[in-house]
Amino acid sequence: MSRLLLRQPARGISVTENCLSALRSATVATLKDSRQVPNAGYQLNRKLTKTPIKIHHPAPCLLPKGSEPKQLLEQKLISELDPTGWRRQLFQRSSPLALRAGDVVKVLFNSETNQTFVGTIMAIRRRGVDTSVRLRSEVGQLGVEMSVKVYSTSVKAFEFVSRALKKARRAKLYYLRPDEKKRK
Amino acid sequence: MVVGRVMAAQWSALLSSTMLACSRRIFSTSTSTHRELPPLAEFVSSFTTHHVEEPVTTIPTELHTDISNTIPIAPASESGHRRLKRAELPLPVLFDSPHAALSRKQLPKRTGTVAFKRGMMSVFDENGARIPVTILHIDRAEVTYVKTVEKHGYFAVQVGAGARHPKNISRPMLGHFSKAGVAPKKLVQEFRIRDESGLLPVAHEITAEHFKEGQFVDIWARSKGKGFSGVMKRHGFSGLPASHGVSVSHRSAGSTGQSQDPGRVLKGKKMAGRMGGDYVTVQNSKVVKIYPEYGLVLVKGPVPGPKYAAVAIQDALKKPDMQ
Repeated sequence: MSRLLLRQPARGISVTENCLSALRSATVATLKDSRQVPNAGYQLNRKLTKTPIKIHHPAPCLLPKGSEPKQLLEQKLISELDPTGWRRQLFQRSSPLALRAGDVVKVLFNSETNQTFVGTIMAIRRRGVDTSVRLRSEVGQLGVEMSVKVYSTSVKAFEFVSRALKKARRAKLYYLRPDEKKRK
Repeated sequence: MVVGRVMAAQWSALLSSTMLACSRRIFSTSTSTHRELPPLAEFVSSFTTHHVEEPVTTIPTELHTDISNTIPIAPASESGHRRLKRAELPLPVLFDSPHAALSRKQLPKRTGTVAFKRGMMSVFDENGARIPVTILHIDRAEVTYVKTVEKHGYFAVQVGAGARHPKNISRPMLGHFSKAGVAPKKLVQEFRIRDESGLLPVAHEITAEHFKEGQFVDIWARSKGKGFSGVMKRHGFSGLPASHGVSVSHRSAGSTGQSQDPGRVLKGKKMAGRMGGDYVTVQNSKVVKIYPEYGLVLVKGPVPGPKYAAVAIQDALKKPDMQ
């Protein structure tokens, strides 16, 4: 009896009060079932007879234990959106072909007009499937900035144009923007 | 004797004026050629007691109160067509009755389910556009109880989701789950449905495949609690200027009323107080993607409540029925 209770009970077996009281009476033989209160004129009945409740065991959770659904789904989604892995090669920090802030890059889009954009990488925002890169280009006097979602299906390719002459000392190059006060 | 005659006259006048409201039984039990008035006690009791002949299992759809234009005619007999007697006419359904109210109520056809909010991410569609989605995890959702109009007055399906250790669950609830044949659940939610066609058997599992990609759903959950919030956050008041002599009340409400009239602050005046933690429904959220192998449903846009909180999802009320 005691061995059964220590182990994890099998599916569908209920732990009943009767089992417990039987164990109690078996191990502690000196305790009486009805306790006499001195000078009270009544007895307390210690026998507990509750009907047993059958407790069903839960089915296993579909998510593996300790996993985050976002991580699971992102891995799936990225492998679907980037089957050859060129996007991961360009934008994962550890990759040897990784792009850096300061590099000049040309983006080709999946549009009818085959739109392109050439610019300096100002910032790389790494967020899994939401990874985006901010490019800056000066078209004459007009500065143009563009944020491109790397894993979007509208992006056809990234072409590496040139690396920065001097390695940028920071990850985000917002200082490339002109000083508003000086212009006036 | 005079009194008795007057009473009888009054009684017959009362009878004629309240024909439509009378119970069927008074007139149909009489088998004689002319109408015999029943004893007064029975007549009076017909107004005070509510006669229920058989339980209504189907919800009546016709609610006309004026039946003078729609008196049905009995099939042709050897004597020819005859007008149905008043005793044989169908009774109109009262507008102010539970059955009529139930037939008017807008409800989805199918049940919903409980899910747990597991964060947000984004997916890309075929055009390359980014769709922000909320990840909802339908964790071991099973039907724990079913409510019907005969027993409870309405149709509903009670769904339990999650799992909890039996030692942390009260004995009454353990009995409830045991009777349903399911493991003890973390929480339980009722979903009202239109009629018995949406009822599911007890212990039936509701998976992510209950919803289809592209369908619309209504999601409701308790919003994030904001604690005791000031008037600017809670009601969007603009506060007072940051300078120009304003003393110590930059984020206050300012004036709370008029002068001598009404001479008090009106009820419902927007003031600071507890914000959040109340039920919010987001209607017509689109189901973007389903992962049945994980029990995940991706829904477009945000969903009320913090991460890991329980939300209730059901087919959108304002969209066509889902089969």
